[in-house]
Amino acid sequence: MTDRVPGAPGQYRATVSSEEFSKLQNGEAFTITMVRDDAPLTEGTPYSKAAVLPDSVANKICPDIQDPSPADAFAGLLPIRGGTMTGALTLEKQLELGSGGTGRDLSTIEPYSIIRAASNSAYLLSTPTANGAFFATGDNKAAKFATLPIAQGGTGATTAANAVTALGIKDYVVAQGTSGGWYYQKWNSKYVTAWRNITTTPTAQGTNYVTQALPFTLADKNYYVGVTGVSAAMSGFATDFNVSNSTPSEGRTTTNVTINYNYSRSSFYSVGMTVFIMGTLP
Amino acid sequence: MRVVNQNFETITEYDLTKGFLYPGVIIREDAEPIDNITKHAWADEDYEDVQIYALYPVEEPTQLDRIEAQVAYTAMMTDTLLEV
Repeated sequence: MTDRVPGAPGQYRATVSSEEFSKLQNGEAFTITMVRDDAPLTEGTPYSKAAVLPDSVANKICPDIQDPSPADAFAGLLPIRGGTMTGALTLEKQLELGSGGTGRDLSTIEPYSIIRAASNSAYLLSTPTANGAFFATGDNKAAKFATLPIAQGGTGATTAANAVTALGIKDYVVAQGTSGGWYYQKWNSKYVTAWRNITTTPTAQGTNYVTQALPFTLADKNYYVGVTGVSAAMSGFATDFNVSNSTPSEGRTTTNVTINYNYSRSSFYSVGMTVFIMGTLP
Repeated sequence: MRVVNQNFETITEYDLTKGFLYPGVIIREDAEPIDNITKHAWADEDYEDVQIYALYPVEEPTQLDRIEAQVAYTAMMTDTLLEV
């Protein structure tokens, strides 16, 4: 708006008709017409409804008020200063990050794009209420939050057990470690494998025995046992010490394995052997 | 070192003329059980070195042994046993 600049501030011109003038002379009430006559240097913008609060603006600010006044319009603008806003707010320019906006002109974003905050690419400018990963399938449908399918680089499952099934994994190790000299692996299918070295000293020529507790209890005694003599503190152990007659079925229980081996020397040196078992858990 | 029988029961008397001792490693009776959750195998301290007592194996008589015994018995009963 433009301010009016008067050339004769406060000057008005009064006009009275002869009839009204007669009333004046008779001491009666009369009517005169007064017109501002301040000889403006600048005409200025008229203070009118169109200039102050046209209906088009008033109805946007106060869409729920019939024939809104300037006071209603000012009240409608109060939420911008921190009050409660009702209805949609349209911005002509993108809101910067520091003000809680994206800093981007979203009208230029391609459909299904992920909008990220430029200042920290680790976060999406979204607070989803759905669980899962945000992904798109390239089938011209909106991206969404859901369990990430295998085709999109996920497992297609939300639990480890279901992921194993979805990925087609037939079996996997659920526990492995050492136990009293054993090295073992326990599989999800309940298959187990274990191996260890045993060092012992024979006490007699001929058949000798050594019993070793298993690292865990097996389902039954029909498990596989493999034994190989690997060392002996003597020369020629290949002929004087062997375990070819080891692992008789009667030497096994579900908790222990007894190995018998042949030793032919009359002096007794320690011997070593490697034991391997493969069985199932109860 | 504890001496046990082949059922891993503690024994204090054993006859080494009828049997023999051999080394073994067994699980202690008071070992905390395996639960397959936090304990998947016996702990190192659950193992115990023992000596296991076993009787010498008694060989089963062969068919020839049985025939010889039968011949000897018959000879004795018929008083025809030869002096060797």
